[in-house]
This record gives sequence, C-alpha cells and structure tokens, in this order.
Amino acid sequence: MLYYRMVALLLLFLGNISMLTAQSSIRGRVMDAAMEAPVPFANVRMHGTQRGTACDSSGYFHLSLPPGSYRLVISALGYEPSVEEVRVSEKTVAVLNVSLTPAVIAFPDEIVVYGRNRGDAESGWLNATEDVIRNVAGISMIRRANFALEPTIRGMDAGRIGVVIDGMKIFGACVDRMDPVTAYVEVENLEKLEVSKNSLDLTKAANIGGTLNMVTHKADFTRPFLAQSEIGYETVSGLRRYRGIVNYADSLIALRATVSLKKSGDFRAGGGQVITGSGFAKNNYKMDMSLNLGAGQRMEFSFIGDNASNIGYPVLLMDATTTKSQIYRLEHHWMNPFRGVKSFRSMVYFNRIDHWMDDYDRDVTVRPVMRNMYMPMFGKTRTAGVNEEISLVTGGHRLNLILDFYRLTAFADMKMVSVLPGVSDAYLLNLGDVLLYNTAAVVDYSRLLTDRLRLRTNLRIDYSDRDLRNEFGRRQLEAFWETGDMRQTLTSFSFSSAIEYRIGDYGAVQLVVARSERIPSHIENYGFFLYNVTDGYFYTGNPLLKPETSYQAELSMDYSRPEHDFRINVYYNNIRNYISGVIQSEEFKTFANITSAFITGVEVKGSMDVARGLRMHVSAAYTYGQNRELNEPLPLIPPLEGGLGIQWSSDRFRFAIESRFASAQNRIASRTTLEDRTAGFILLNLRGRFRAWDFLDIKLGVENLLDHYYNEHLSVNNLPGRGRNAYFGLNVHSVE
Amino acid sequence: MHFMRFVAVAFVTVLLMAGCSEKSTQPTDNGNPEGSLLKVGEGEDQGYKVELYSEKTFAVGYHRIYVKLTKTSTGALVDRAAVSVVPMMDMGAMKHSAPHEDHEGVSAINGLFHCAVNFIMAGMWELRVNFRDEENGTEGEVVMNINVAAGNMLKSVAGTDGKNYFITLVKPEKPVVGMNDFEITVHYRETMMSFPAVEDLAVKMEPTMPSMGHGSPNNVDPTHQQNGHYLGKVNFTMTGDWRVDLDLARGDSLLHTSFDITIP
Ligand SMILES: [Cu+2]
Ligand SMILES: [Cu+2]
Repeated sequence: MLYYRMVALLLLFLGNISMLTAQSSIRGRVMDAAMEAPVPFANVRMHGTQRGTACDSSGYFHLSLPPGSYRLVISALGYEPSVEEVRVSEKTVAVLNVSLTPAVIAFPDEIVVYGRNRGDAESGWLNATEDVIRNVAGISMIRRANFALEPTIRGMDAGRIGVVIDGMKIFGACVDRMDPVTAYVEVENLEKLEVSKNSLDLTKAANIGGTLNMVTHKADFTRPFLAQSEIGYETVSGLRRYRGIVNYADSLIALRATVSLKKSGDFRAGGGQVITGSGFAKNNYKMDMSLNLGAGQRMEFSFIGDNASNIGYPVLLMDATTTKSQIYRLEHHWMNPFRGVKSFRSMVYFNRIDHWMDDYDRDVTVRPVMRNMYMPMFGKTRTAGVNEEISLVTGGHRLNLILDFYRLTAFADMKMVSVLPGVSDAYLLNLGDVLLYNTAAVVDYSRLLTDRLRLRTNLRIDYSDRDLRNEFGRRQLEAFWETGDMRQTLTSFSFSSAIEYRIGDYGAVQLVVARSERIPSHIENYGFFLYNVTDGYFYTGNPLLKPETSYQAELSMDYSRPEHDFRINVYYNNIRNYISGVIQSEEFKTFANITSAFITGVEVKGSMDVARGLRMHVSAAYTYGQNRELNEPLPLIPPLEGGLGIQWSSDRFRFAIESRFASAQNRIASRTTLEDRTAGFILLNLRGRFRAWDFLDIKLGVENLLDHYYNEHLSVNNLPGRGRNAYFGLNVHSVE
Repeated sequence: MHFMRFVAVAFVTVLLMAGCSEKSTQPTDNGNPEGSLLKVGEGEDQGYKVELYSEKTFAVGYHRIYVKLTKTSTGALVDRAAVSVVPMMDMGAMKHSAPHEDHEGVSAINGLFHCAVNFIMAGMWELRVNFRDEENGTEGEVVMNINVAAGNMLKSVAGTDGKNYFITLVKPEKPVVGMNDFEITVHYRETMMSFPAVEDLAVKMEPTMPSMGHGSPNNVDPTHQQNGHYLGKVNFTMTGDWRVDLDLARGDSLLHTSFDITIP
C-alpha cells in the first residue's frame, strides 16, 4: 500500500514537472560557423550547473525549462564554447540557433581571457597579460626586467614566431629587445589569445615556430553603458595601479575607452633581497569605436597608446628612459556580402614605436664591458600594413584568401660618450634606415571529409624587398660583406596541413605536418654592433642570409567533456639553414645560416571537476633543442615546466591555489654562449576574488607564497624572479 | 569635384618639383691641369717656369708634389721631361734630406710630373726641383723654401737592428666609418742624405678603440706594393678615437708603432 502511494506520489511529482516544462522550452540547432554544416551531439547546458541536454546527430536540440532568463553554454568537441542568453516565456518555445566556431583545428590553445561569457567578462582575475600568456603549455617568458616579458613558443622567439595584435605586425624599436609587442596589450584589453604552437596556422605571419595573436577587446554593442574603475597594489615592488574602462553603445555606434596607469618601485626577490634599479612607470590608453553600418557591415577603429619611462634593467647595461608607442587600426567587416561569401574583412593599420635608453644612472667606471663610456641609444620603427581577408563557405568547405602587406622602416643609433677627458665621442648606427616591404598571399582551406574527419590546409607565399638606405649605415656593413648592394629580395614558401579525426563523442586525434620558411628579420640582415648579453659578443647583421626552413610534425590527442578534459601533444621541428651567431673575431659574431637544428617536445594539459564548483588544472611541457652543427643544446630552451592548480568558483566568489614548477635546466649551449645551468623551483600562488556588493569586487592574492628565491632559465643574466607578493585590488563597476 | 581637381594639380606639381630637384651638380672642369691643387711655389731657370702644387698644406708626413713645367717664351706645357724634387733641411750644424720619390719615366700625366716627399721634421725646408727637358736636353734647377708644420702622420722608430725607420701614414687621408684603404710607407736612414725604401717587411695591423677596448674585424694587413708603399684595408666600425697598431717584421720582429686616427 505504502509502495503504491509512493509511486503515485512520485508520478504526481514527475507529472507536475512535465506539466511545467511542457509549457515552455527552448529548441534550436547548432551549426558549424565555418562550414555551414550541423554540429552533431553538442552539449547545451545551463551556466554554472550540470543541467542540460545534447543535440542529435543533425545538430537539433530541445530543452524544457520553466519560464525565465537563462544563460546557456553550448559546447562541442573541437569548438569554442558559446554562451547565449535566452528568455523563455510561459507556454512558448524559444528558438535558439547557435553557430560554433571550430577551435581544435583552428587554435587548439586559444585562451579566452575576458570571454564572451558575461559572468567572466570583467572578472579581471589575473593582474598582467604575461600571467595569461604564461598559462599556455609550451610558452615560456624571457625576463629581462620586472617589465614586459617576451614570449617564446617551444624555445623559439623573435622572428621565428609571429606575435601580433589583432593581426597587426608591430616591430620593436629597441635593438636589445626591451619592447616586446605583448607589452602593448594590458590584461583588461586582452579578450583572447589565439595561439598556434606550430606552423599550421599561416594566416597571421610567416613563422617556423607558431603565432600568438592577441585579440583585443573592442567596443561592445551589447553594453549600452558600462564603467569600471580599479585600483591595485602589489607589495613586492610597491606597484600602484589604476585601471578604468568605459563602454557606451547604441544601435549605431559603440565606444570603449580604457586607461591603465602603473608605477612600480624596485622589486624584491625571494628572501627579501631588493633588486635596485628595477622600477618603472607605464601608461597605456586604448580607444575603440565601432560603427554599425547595417547590412552586415561594421567599421572598427582602434588606437593604443603606450608610454613608459624610467624602466630599470638591472641585469642589462642600460635602462630604458622613455618609450612611446602609437598603434592605429581601421577595419571593415562585411558579413555575407554575396552569396557564398561568408565575410569580407579589410584592415589598414599603422604603428610607430620610439625607444630611448641610456646608462647615465650607472657607474660606468666599474663595469667590464665598455668601461668609462656612456652609451645613449635610440631606436624607432614605423610599420604600415594592409590586410584583406575573404572567407568563402559552401556546405562542408571553407576557403579563406588573405592578402597581407606591410612596410617597415627601422632606425637605431648609439652614441658613446667617455667620462674621461680628451676622448672624442663615438657614434654608430645599429640600424641604418632599413626599408622593408613584405607582401604575402595566404590560402587557408578547410573541409569536412566525413562527420568525423576534418582537413585544414594552409599555403603562404611571402615576398620581401629590403634595403639599407643610410650611406653611413651601408659603409659600416659593406666593411663586413663584400657586396656593393645591401638590397635583398627574398621569397619564402610555406605549406601546412592538418587532419583531425574524432573518436566517439569526446575524443579527437590530430596530425599536423608542415614545411614552413621564414625570411630573416631586418635585424638579422642589417643590425650592427648589437651587444648580446647571452654570449657577450657584438653581432653584425648579414644581408646575404637565406630563409630558415622548418619541417614539422605534430600529433595530438584530445579528450574533452564538460567535467574533465585532457590533451597531449608530441612534436618534432627540424630547422635547416638555422640562423645563429658565428664567431668572426675575438669580440664579434655575425648572423649565419648554420646547417641544422631541431626542437622536439611533449605537452600535456588537463582539467577535471573534483567536486561541485571545484576544478583542478594541470599542465606540463618539455622542450628539447639541439644544434646539430655543433652537437650541443640550443641556447635558451626552457626546462620541463608546468603547473598544477585547483579553483573553486561560485556566483560571488572565486578562489584558486596554483603551483608553478620548473625543473633544473642542465642542457645548455656552453660552447656558443655564456648560458648557465638553472636550478628547478616550485612556486605557490593564492588568488581570490570576491563580489562584496553588486558594484564592488575585491581582489586579493599572494604570489610566491613561500618567498622562494629562484630564477627562470629564460631570465637574462639570472635576474631573480619576484619574491612573495601580496596583491590587492578594488574594482568598482556599474551594475547591470 | 573641385577638391579632387586641386589634389590632382597639387600631386602633379609635387612630382614636377621632385623631378627638377634631381639636377646633378657636377664640378665644372676649368681646363687647368692642376685643378683644385694647391700652389706652393714657383721659380724660373733656363727659360723654363717651374710651378709646384700639393694636395694640402705641408705638415710632417707624406706629400705628393706635382710639378708643372712651361717654357717662359711661349707658355707651352712641357710634357716630356725627367723631374725630381729633393728636400733638404739645413739645421746649422748639419744638413739632411728626407725620403722622396721622383717622377717615374719622362711623360707628364695630364701635364703634371708626379713626385713625392716625406717630410720627417717640421720647420723650413728647401725643395730642389731638377728637370731635364727630353726634347732638347736642357737641364735646370729651381730651389724653393717652404714651411712644414708639425704633424702626427710620421713615426720615427729605432728597429731591433739598430737602424732608424720612418713609418708614414699615407691613407686614409679622410678616414670614414666602414672600410678604408690603409697605406703606409717605410724608409730607413742610411745616411743623412739617403733614405731608401724598405720593401721586404711583413706588416701586421690591428685597429682598436682604446677607450672601449674593442677592435674591428675584416681588416687586411698591408703588403708591399712598390717603393716602400704598403697597402691594406682598415675597418672603423664607428666614429671616435681609434689606434692602429703596426708590427713590422723581417723574420723576427723589427719594430712596433701605432697611429692615432680620429673618425669625425
Ligand atoms: Cu632598449
Ligand atoms: Cu667603439
């Protein structure tokens, strides 16, 4: 009797639910944005819960819900997750059609910083762009100061990888590489990172070691008004920061402006040692305007201004006194302009970078190199470019055609003023007015071979014409190379192909093969008297260099479910005509093509839900590089490194414990450089963010909790890492 | 539309102006064989006028001296003659000469006879110009007094063989950043009147910037050409004060000297 009563009760209960849900629901279809083909078996889940459903094999789904507003997370293996807001009224069926952008074959390591997901949108979880970039397994940062770390991908940097902002080429003005491009995007302006760690993606730049595209936040049409103001403090360096963001939008125009001001004193290494002369001040401004032109057309204008001053480089010979950068971009988007054309995008950009550095604050009478000499230096670059991209899509095929043109002028000089009487000033040009044109055509083709098999192929041809225009600069270099003509024209040809096979509902295997080339950089061609701190030589450019050629293969496996995911990559990169310094005389090296080198490695990355709201992350990367010519390790290859973390999040609260580790690096290029061994280390960080009121967030954290003294292998001249750093932030924002 | 027309006109104007400003400025040839040379003296003997030209004012070191010979009666250029210039310094107690080079052969080069003198001291010098007209055999001599300023292009060094050597920097005359021709002459004092060229030395050269402690690559050691002239190449990588060290050897090391060169 009791049994029947219980069954009846249960039926009644279930009936009630079904009665409620039958009245209102959401249905829709999930499509592949690139291919105009359905995405089978995608997950449709209510944000922050495990409730949801899955699509059928044709991409259709149906979800019964009580009336209300919902945020749905639509995810599928191999696609960027999408967050959609829907309102479900009583007794109606809301229709939601979603396009998912393929992720795996496009950017397997894309990191959404301030994603489209509104909940995370302004969470400002991390303090610096560098902390975001470093989170990608296989990316390590070169550290020259407590300022502007430079990314390397799998042990490759500078011209071997392409680092761009919204697809724009920007060239550092400092011949000592104090101004990496990543410095210009403050973390609040970084929407996402598109990382390609191999040469599969050739659409952004010619490269043999991958690309890093920093996609910035643009003016947001969905935010009629948003304002945010944040102050922050860091104990390790006395850093004070201010950040402000405003966004305004109506149906025609959207505007966004941000400002970031930072001032830092000397930082402390672990154990309390103060690293004197390591402070800096930096101001960054970004302005964005988008115009809705109707008929699928949008115009975007953006400007980034970045000024830094008195940046201390305690382990280098000199400090940067002033840097000024202005980056302009104008872009036109046209969605579905014609039948069969998915989009047409045109971009024009220009940027100018000026960089001054000197050693007037140093005691030059005691140093070993260039004793008794002050060496003020100046550098500038001007880059202008045009980028056109047309995307053609028919069922199952996608063809992107890209034209990528840029023009670079670069100049750098150096004065040497003796502190001793009776010594004449000396002067030279580090870059004697380089003029460089680069034109590239790219074909990016993808197709679905079957439901489970996807192919992507890239082809890129670059043609570059470059010359040294300054007479003085030409004479300097002509003394090294018996060529009366500094002008060079070079062509490079790159090709890549990937095939991805999906296993079951959650797994995928991807194989990438590529043969890519990269034309020497203007510095490798025309640089003069460039002091390299890693080996103590003065470098001279070589206008006769050939392009480097790389042959790559990479195998990766993915397993990805909402509650846990895992990825492993194994790669091999063989480089011919590898460009490296070759000793010319006692203190001089020139750039030359040595026969061959290779880099190989493995990366793993995974995460899993360990309890409700609690997720664990793990990643590790090992890189092995060898110079075949000299049979010794390549210099500045990161050791085995990675991280382990656990994160707890709820509506108002987010807390994380992270550890970052690196093993010792004993594989060093001892014959060609002054590189030394580095000990391993483990760091522990705590991060928290708490929404105190609807308009106020509090940010608190401690980095390097144990105050460990360490230096990373890619720290120039063993500059120590930062000691224990407690940080604090107060974010006041408009309420939605 | 007006605006576009204005832009077009402005554009064409700019192009035309750019085209006009390309006009070259070739130095005009004034027809004189001595061209831009400096006249340092003249005299007459046996119906011949002797004019002396130099490339620069006299200072201690190597000077090319150009002799122009004309017949006083007609003013006609003599272009076949044997010409020599012998320097002489009278120091009261004794007289001495200096290394010098006669015009090679008897044919004038563009109307001039090319001689050279290596002044080994500052002060008043006598230049004895001897000529012999090849057409009629007339011989003559003109003596001129000139003043030679102090300079740092010549080093007088005692060799390990006990002889006194004169090393003179001839090139670069106007040093520039980058590769420069490097030329020295080497003579030794046989007697007060005889300073033969030294032609059998191995020369090692090394430029450095003493203020910075670095040198430069790609230099070419000077090797002997003729008449004690050694030719090589020197690479100055930047402006400023350089020192070029020279090791001269005949088998064993003979002597060491250096020149200070400032690149403006
Ligand atoms: Cu710099
Ligand atoms: Cu120097």
